[in-house]
Amino acid sequence: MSNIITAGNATNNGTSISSDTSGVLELKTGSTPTTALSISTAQVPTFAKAASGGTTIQVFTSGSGTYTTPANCKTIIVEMVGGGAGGSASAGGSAGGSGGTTTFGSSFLTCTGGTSFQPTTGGLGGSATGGDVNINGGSASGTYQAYTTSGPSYTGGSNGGVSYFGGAGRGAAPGSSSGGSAAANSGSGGGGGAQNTTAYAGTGGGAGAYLRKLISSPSATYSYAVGAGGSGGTSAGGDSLAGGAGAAGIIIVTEFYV
Amino acid sequence: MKYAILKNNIVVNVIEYDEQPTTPPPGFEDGHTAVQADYVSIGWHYVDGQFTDPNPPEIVELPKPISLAEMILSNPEELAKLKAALKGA
Repeated sequence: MSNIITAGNATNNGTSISSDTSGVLELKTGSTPTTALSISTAQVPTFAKAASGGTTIQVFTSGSGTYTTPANCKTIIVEMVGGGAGGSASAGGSAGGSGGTTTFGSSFLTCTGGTSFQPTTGGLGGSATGGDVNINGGSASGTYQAYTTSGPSYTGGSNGGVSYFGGAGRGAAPGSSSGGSAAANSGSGGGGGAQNTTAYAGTGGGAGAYLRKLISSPSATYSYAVGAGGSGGTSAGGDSLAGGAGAAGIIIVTEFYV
Repeated sequence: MKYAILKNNIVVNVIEYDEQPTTPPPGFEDGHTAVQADYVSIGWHYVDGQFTDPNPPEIVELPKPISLAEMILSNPEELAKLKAALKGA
């Protein structure tokens, strides 16, 4: 079956365009149609789909080493976050450990981890350098002593500081529980331990900083390190309750080939 | 496990590895070593196998919590005001 488009009076110098299933396209003119133009299948340009694998991704969740840019990779986007600090323990326990620093290209891109304080000051978020976007890690709120007419009451620990990726550890419920741990590789801080009866509640750990960096014409290799999460503050015994652990950081490298 | 990354016996980073890393650890320059440590922070010192905080937190002795009744009874002026208010009620 053929498709025909006509214009004008075919008996008086009209034109027609026809194509058939073989792909041949013909332009005919005149009252006695003659072929003015014929395009064969071989002359029709074809457009192929782009090759698959236009982007790839590599994720680093621990350790250190050397990142190698894949062959034919033209551009990379690096997103990363530092480690979250541990939450502090309550009632004379210790502060949590600080989060480690996540680096890419040694000091080229850095996201420091969060820190932890004790007894009532909230943990502080880390800071980032080198990115197109640099966002400090979230800090945790402080804690206080609550009273009732009959004396001091129970108070919960504060939540951990929140990173760009969320996932902070929850502050311990008032009474007798420890702070919650942050979600794995979120870079957020752990929660603070709860107050029991006669002392102050623990505070959350600060979150690691976040950055995003577009690197055109990347180098062949980059050294990297993923900051660890800080340990939760340890209990001093008795009414003292432990803080939750901070989460390790992460590095996400998106690789573009076109 | 967590490892403190040391340079000149000062913790410069804290990294997690599945097993003891090489010396220097992968991606770090010569002069860095890794020592397993569960509770340590950047900036701490490592001497004779022990980690110490060069700037230990100042221990602040917070006031012992007391009840509202204790607060009022310990302040004669406030107690007098309360009594006067109760008489007038």
